[in-house]
Amino acid sequence: MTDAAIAAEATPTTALDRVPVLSVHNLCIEVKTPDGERVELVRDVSFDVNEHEVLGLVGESGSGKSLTMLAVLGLLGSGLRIVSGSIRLRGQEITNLSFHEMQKIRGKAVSIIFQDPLTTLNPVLRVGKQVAEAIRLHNPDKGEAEIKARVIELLSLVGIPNPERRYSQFPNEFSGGMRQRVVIAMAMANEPDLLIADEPTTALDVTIQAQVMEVLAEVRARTGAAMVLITHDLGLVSEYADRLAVMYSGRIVEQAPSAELFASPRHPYTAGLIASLPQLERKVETLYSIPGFVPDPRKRPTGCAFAPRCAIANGRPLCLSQSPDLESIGANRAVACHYSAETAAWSTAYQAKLENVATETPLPVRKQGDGTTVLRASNLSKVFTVRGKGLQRSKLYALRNVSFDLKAGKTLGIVGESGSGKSTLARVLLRLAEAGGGEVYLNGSPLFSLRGRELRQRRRDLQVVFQDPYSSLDPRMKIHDVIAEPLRIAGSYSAERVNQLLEHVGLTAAAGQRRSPEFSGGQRQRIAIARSLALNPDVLILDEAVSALDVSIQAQIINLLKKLQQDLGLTYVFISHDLSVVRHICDEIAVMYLGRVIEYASTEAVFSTPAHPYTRGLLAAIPRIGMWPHGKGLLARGDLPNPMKPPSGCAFRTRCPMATALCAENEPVLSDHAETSHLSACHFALA
Amino acid sequence: MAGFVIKRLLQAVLTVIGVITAAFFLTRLAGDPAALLLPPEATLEETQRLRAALGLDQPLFVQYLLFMGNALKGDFGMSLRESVPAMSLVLDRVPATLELALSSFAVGVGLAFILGILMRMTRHNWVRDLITWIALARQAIPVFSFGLVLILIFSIWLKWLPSYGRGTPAHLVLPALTLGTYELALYLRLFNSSLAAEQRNDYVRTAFAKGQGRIQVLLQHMLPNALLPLVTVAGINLGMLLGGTVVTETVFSWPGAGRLIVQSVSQRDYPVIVAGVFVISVMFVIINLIVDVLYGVLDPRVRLA
Repeated sequence: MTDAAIAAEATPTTALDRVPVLSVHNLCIEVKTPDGERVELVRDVSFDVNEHEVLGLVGESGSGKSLTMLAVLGLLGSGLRIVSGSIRLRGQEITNLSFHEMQKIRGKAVSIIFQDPLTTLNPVLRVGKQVAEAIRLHNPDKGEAEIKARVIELLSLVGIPNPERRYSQFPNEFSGGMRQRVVIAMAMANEPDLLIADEPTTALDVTIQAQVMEVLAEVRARTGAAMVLITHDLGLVSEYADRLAVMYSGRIVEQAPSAELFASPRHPYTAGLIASLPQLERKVETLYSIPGFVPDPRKRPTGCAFAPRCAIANGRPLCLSQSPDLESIGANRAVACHYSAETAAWSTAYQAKLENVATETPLPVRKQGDGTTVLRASNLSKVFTVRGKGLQRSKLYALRNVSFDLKAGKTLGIVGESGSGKSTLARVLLRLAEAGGGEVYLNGSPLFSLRGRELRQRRRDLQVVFQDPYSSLDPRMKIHDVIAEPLRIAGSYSAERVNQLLEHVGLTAAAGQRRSPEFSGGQRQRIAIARSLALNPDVLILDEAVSALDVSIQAQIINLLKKLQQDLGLTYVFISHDLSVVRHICDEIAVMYLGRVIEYASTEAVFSTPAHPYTRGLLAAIPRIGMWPHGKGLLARGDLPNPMKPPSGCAFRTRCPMATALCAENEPVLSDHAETSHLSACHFALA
Repeated sequence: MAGFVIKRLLQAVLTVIGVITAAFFLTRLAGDPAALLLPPEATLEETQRLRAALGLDQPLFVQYLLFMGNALKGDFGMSLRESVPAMSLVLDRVPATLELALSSFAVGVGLAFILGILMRMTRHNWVRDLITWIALARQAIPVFSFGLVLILIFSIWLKWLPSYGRGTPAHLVLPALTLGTYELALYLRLFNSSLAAEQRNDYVRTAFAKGQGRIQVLLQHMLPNALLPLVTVAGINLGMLLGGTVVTETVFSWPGAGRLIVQSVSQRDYPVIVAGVFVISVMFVIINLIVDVLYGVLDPRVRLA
């Protein structure tokens, strides 16, 4: 049931309903930089949020979406201030209220859920106390017992088992998903009129994300709170928001009801974002990527801020000279573009181009390797011994019998939730961690028996790109030296080679003279890729290499990786939690759960006929554009079990909708079904 | 928790044994006390008689076993200078040492705590700058000169406070101020930076979003987290204060254990040295144990790990 339907059913229309819960008008926020410069970060933003409504606020990092909502709470950081505009809550102007006066509103009329549940809760205070605080602050006359009863009620409302016991536990005794439930309980404590959810599930695994969004929808249905959902995830807003506002460089560039926005985006930025999103339903050879990157707010182009990246502006003088106003087009829709009428044509043409590629010409044949196996893992295992209380030691089986066989020029995707062993696998493959058993063969020769110089020689054929381009590059080194380092170690340094590598990843030789803090996240990831390519490796291990990037930048890097693979005949191990990206880039997929591979097949097979219920649960949990409601019965339930005490039999049975007594007794082996190469480890595979 | 404390106690016993073993051998390396005790014109026979009486004629390892055996019974031998048990000489000084160490510790940590909170709460940059400047300037002055300046001002000019000795609380003021304010800059800087680091955490924003006020958030949320590094450093420092207050004790003629040990070193009164080292090391490990336990109390992550 949609939120609008709930609203229509549950509440009769009253006069109050016609006053928007939140009404922001012409809001401008600026920051004063340390050198005294004033920079506008939020520019002329206006929107309303109505009773029972979910407004999705979408944009890439730095678009001003979080700042706008922090301003609603009166919690702008130091140096930031509202220059002009108004914010009304139920008609009451709040921009002129003092910090002290806002205290009565914060947590009562408006509350917020932040992104990372690991840091949102105070680690040294008991969970119950933190929730109780939210109640006590606004109900000073309530007694302790009454407050405690209410906290326990709230904790069970958000689906936390054993709320009485959980009440006096500390945050580190909760899993990420459970912590976010606590945060939701805290936010809902006083049944606020407006809930702000700032990337509420970005730090969570996709199955947990689905559970948390479910809880949010339930508690909102009970209290009728309106919500602003701030996110960069277009799939998520398409499922959960009634209306969307897209922000770019501090401004709202488009506003529309969710379904209409995705069906017919009117701003070229929105259209570009949608086109650059890898989707589960279709695989295209090259993703659309919005060229360039979000401008520095201090050096915004005159005219339309998006013009330099725009697919339809074509340098027209109007775009370059005049910033377009947000103008209403039809009922409930508004767009800030001089030529918004042309966007539809661009989208259609782009779609047509995709379909032509898909139907008429076969996908361009990749520069294939000769079909020989480049990287083979055989029965890899890794056990960590974890110290418990006193002399207790328990074993954590991080990898159990992981095997795969990767042919030259192909990409193997490794997917799974956090704790599934993906990253341990990467470390073992690179010999950054010693395996407990098994062997890795690189170009046919075993890797684990190598020592010293031999190992260092061989390692050159196996390189890695990590997730976070901010910490994987030394900020004090010039980019030229960063890329030259492996060459110098190998004794094959030449400036031309470094410049050639920079060129490979779409940067100029001049970029080599700067240091990493001068580059954006996407550019840094390009540099990290250039560095990994320096020694002509055969295999690149990409450990969540595009996960930290914004959608439009992510598309650029994915396209770059695909192009490099074609040009250089590279073989990839692509580790990711994002199945849509995996679908787009991988030839084969291994799904991991608690250290085991539980499904291993070609990408097409995994997506068209997923054999393992866990894989099906993962696929069902991915929010996607225009697909609500999806098969929620397939969702994995609850949390990942404690890896130190895995369930008997099939490790997934505790969360599996299909589990029977058999599953508790026998652990299914990874085997093929119907003589295909589709391997899965389930008693009821493909059932 | 109990298991943790027992484990730490065992470690503490081993530490103390190690420390007095080291002290024993080091004092033996420092030279022959018999030569120092007797007048220069003493005969070889007299010297040997004294050495036998002190047990110095035995092989070193036997001496060590005898020493450890006696030490287990709490007997560290007689002082070579004043014929009283070395231990009682040391224990006489312990209250004075503890008094000075604890009161200067309280001054340092207490001031750092108050000023740290003040620096967080004030909206005036000049207050922050002034506090930082004073603390740094104080640390730049050596204990010795600062003590003398205090004596000059408060004892000689103003005649408010006694300049030396121990007895009344008034005697304690100047030494405690001298020593305590020296530690202040370190504590203050540490406390302030850990408060500043906590301020950036999301749980602070969350507390504000619940409707809490600035002071509440500071005291209820940030403080317990920000205290953790302060507890660690202050614990180590308190241990050092117990043994290392010699300069202050000398300036103010304070009858503490530190000064006793220094005097004993110059007199090669090794039973007193070893007894003194023993007492200080016991206090040191106890303080460390308290810090560890306190850490567990303050931070549930440590307790549950």
